[in-house]
Amino acid sequence: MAETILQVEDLSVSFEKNGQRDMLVQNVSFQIEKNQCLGIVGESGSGKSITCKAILGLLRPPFHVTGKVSFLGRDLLLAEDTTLRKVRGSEIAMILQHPMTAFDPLEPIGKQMTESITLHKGISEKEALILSAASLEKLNIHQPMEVIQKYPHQVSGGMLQRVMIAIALVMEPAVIIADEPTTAVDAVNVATVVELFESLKKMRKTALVFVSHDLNVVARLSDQLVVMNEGSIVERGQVEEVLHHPQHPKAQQLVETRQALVNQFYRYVKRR
Amino acid sequence: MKQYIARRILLAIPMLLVVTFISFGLIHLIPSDPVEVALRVNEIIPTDEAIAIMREELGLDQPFFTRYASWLKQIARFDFGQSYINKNRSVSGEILRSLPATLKLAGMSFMIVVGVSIPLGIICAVYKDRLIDRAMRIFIFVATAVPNYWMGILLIWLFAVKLKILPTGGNQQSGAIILPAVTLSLTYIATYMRLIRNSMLENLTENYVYYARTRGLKEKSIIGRHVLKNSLHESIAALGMSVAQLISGTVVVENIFSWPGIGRLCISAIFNRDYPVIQAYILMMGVLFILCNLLADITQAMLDPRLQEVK
Repeated sequence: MAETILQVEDLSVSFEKNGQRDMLVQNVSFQIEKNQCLGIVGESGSGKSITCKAILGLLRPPFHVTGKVSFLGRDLLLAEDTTLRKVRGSEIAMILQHPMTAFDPLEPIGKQMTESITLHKGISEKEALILSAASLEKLNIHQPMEVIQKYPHQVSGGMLQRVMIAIALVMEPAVIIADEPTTAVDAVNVATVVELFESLKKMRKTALVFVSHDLNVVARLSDQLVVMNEGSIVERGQVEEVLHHPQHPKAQQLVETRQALVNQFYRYVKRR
Repeated sequence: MKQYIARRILLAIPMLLVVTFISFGLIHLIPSDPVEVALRVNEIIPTDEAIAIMREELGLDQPFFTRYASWLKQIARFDFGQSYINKNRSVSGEILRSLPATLKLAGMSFMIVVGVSIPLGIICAVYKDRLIDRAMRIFIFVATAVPNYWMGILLIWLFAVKLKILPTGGNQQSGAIILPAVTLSLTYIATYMRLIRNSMLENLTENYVYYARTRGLKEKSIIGRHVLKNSLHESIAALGMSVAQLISGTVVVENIFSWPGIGRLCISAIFNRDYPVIQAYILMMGVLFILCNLLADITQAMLDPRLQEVK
C-alpha cells in the first residue's frame, strides 16, 4: 500500500481586484505518494504555478485560498507562518523556472546555498558548505568549490538549475515540487535536466510534483498525470492512459501536439 | 577592478577641463564691470584713469584666452589668485576659512538624510498602503514641493520665534546647526525615502525573493539581507550625487540662517563681482560633482561583481 504524502483537496484560488473576484484555480484535488512522480501539464496560465504557490502558503492577499492541503497529517493552509517556514525548503522543496533570476545577484552562490541549510539544519556555515559541495558533486558538478565561490551571473542557467536541485537535495525533503524547470532551459539542456530528474527519482525516494507545459518532458518522468485547463483539472490518470486515450478536448490537443514533436525529440535524445 | 577605476579616472580628466572652462567663461557673461565694482567697494572714485590702472593690475586687459590659460596654470598649483575686493586676501584662504562650516552643515545633513530616509523607506515598503506609508507619502509630497528657503523661514518662525528653543541663525550657540541641517535635509529625506521604498517594492517582486521564500527563509532576513542590499545598491549612485548637491545646496540655507560657510562667501562674491572667488567656487563645485560621481561609481562597482567585468 503506497503511502500518501501530500494530499490536495478542493483547492481553489481567487484573486480579488476592485471588488471583482477572479477564480484562478478551481476545486483542484490530487495526491502524491512516496517514490511517485505526479505530472501536471497545461497551457501557460492554466493555474499550475498558482497551485504550487498555494500548496506552500506563498499566496497573500489579494489572493484568497480555500480547500485543504494535508502534508503528513497537517493542513498547511491552516498552519501558522513559522510552521510553514519550517516546511518550506526542508520538507517540501521547490525548484523554479528561470534559474538565472532566482538568486540574489550580489551574493556568491555558496552563501545563498548555505543560507537556508544553516537555518533548517541548525548547523554551522562551514558544515553547510561541505554539504552543499557534496550535493553539487552528486549532480555531476566536478569542481563544486569553484561554483560555490562564483556569483550567479558567472555561471550558466543550466548550472544554476543544478544548484537549485542541489539545495533541494541537501535537505532530503519528502516532496520536491518542480515548477516548469525546463521552460527557461534551451533545447540542448532540456535532455540534461530531464536526465537529472530521472536520477533524482531513483536516488531518493521522494515524491515529485513535476509541473510543465511540455508534455514530452512530463511523460518521461511521471507515473500519474494531471491535465489542467483554465484553473481546473480536466483529465487525470496513469501517464500511458492519458497519453493514449485522452478524453478532454484540451488533453487531446496537448497529446496531438506532442505526437508531432515526440519523434523528433526522441531522435534527438538518441543522437546524444 | 583596477582597470575599471583607472578608466573612470581617465574619463574624469576631460570632464574636469570642461568644468574649468565653464567656470571661467560663465562669469564673463555677467554684464557689469568687475573693475568698477572693485573700485567702489574700496571707495575709490572710478575715473577712466583709475579704471585703466585697476584693469591692468587685475590682468583684465588681456584677451580672454590668455587669461584662461594663465588661470589654468595657476589653479594647477592650487593658486586661485587674490580677491578683487580685498587684495590682501588670497581666494584659497577665503575658501579654506569658510569651508569647514559648510562641510559641518552638509555632513550633518547627510547623516540626517541617511539616518532618517533609509529606515523610513524600509518601513514604508514593508507596510505598503498602511497608515504609516500613506502619511509618509503626504510628507514626501510636501517636502518635495516646498522650497527650502520657505521651509527654513517657517522653521525659524516655529522653533526660534514662537517656541524659542533654537537660535535663529549663526553658528555660535549650541543647537544652531539643527535648523539649517534639517531644512537642508528635508528634500533629500523625501527623495531617498521614495527611492528606497520603490526600489525595495520592486525588488520584492523579483524572482529571487520568491525563491528565498520557497526555501523557508525568514521574511526578516529576505528583506534585511537581500532586498535591502539590492535596493541600497541601486541608491548609491544617487547618494553620491547628493553629497555634492548638499555641499553646493547650502548656498540658500546658509544665507537664511546666517551660517558663515562657503555659500555665503559665494553670494557676497557675486554681489561684489569678485571674479576669482566666484570662479574658484564654481570650479570647486564642478570638481566636487565629478569626484562624488566617481566615488559613487567605484563604490557601486566594488559591491557589484557584475559591474567589475564590464569591458
